[in-house]
Amino acid sequence: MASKDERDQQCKRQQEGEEDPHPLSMGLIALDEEIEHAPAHTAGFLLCGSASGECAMTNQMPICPVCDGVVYIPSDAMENELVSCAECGTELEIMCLAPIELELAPEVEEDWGE
Amino acid sequence: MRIALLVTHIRAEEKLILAAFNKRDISPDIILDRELNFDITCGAQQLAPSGIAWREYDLVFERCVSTSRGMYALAILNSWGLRAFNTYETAATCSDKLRTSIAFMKRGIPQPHTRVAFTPESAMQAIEDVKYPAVLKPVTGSWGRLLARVHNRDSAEAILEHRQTLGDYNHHTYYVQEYVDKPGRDIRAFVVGNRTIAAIYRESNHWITNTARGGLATNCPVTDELDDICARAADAVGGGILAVDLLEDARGNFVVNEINHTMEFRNSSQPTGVDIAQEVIDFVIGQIGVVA
Repeated sequence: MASKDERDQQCKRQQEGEEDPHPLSMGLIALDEEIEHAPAHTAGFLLCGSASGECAMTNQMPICPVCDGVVYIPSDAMENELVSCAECGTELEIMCLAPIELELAPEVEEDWGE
Repeated sequence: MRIALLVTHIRAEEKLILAAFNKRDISPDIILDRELNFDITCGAQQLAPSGIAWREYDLVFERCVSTSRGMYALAILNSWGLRAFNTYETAATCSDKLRTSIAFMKRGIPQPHTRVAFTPESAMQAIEDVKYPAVLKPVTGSWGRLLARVHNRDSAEAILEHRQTLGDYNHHTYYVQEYVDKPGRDIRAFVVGNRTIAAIYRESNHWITNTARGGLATNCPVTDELDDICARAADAVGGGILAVDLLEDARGNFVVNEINHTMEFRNSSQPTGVDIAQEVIDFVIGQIGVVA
């Protein structure tokens, strides 16, 4: 697994167009409210917003590394936030926001809790 | 004001906490516990993963889901004189059910009848001393993991053999409690400083009522009696920002089951109408400048 510095540098290179996006880095963040009100024909290709809040139509969505399902990312998402794949239930961690990069979240360990 | 938020990753609670800080025009530095690399002897002048020297932080707010990482980070930071919530002493007590029971005993906090043994044979005797059904718990752990309600000698023998054979040494400390026949619910109370700011009932058809296990949260009125026992229990473990879990026994009296030092509250603000994150953060901010 890449270190945070390596990931940050990779993210920066990708944002600057110096490197092809990671296969899981689908670039844009779905806005919850727009998902809810999206026309039926756009249901799988949602109106999306970048981390800066700009909106665009895209067919590039964050993909679950386990089931290839589309992962919906909240508009206020943060790096290192946990999200779940609605299709297979896998817990994922957002490693990079722009473009979106997802990894499997760490397995729950015995000492995890409150 | 410079604050570090120490996390394993960002959960709903951490987002609420960050939003509460932002309402007070504070943007904490988020520090991931996976990136910590302390030089124990170098002290607080060394750089945190944020690139800022630890000593520059007015406060470190520990919110790690990893109990060991959070607790040992607090041990180091507190040893350097940094202010942190909760303190290492509070975290170390709350993360260990046996140490929590001792703290309650010393302050006369009512708790379920509890016995401790270190071999399967003596644990069997402990179970029969508290009488069936008994509850076996790991001394460390959360979210209702590996709790066992034991109804008879056969099941006790099976569980003890599994613990002894499959568990590491942590599972060879047998923490045995009487089963409290609660009314289909327990109480989770949120204590900030010396005040109980809110409480919920956690209702479930299952004997384990954790919301992490599907327990339903509804508002529980904070009576003077509840506030008193919660504040005393929180003080017994060192105080701070704590979630106190209580049971109601057959006579309606409270017994304190355990205290959590990195509380989860995502399901509790809505039913109680209390902005728990904001209460916590305002308390934390208010402590800066108070004598460490």
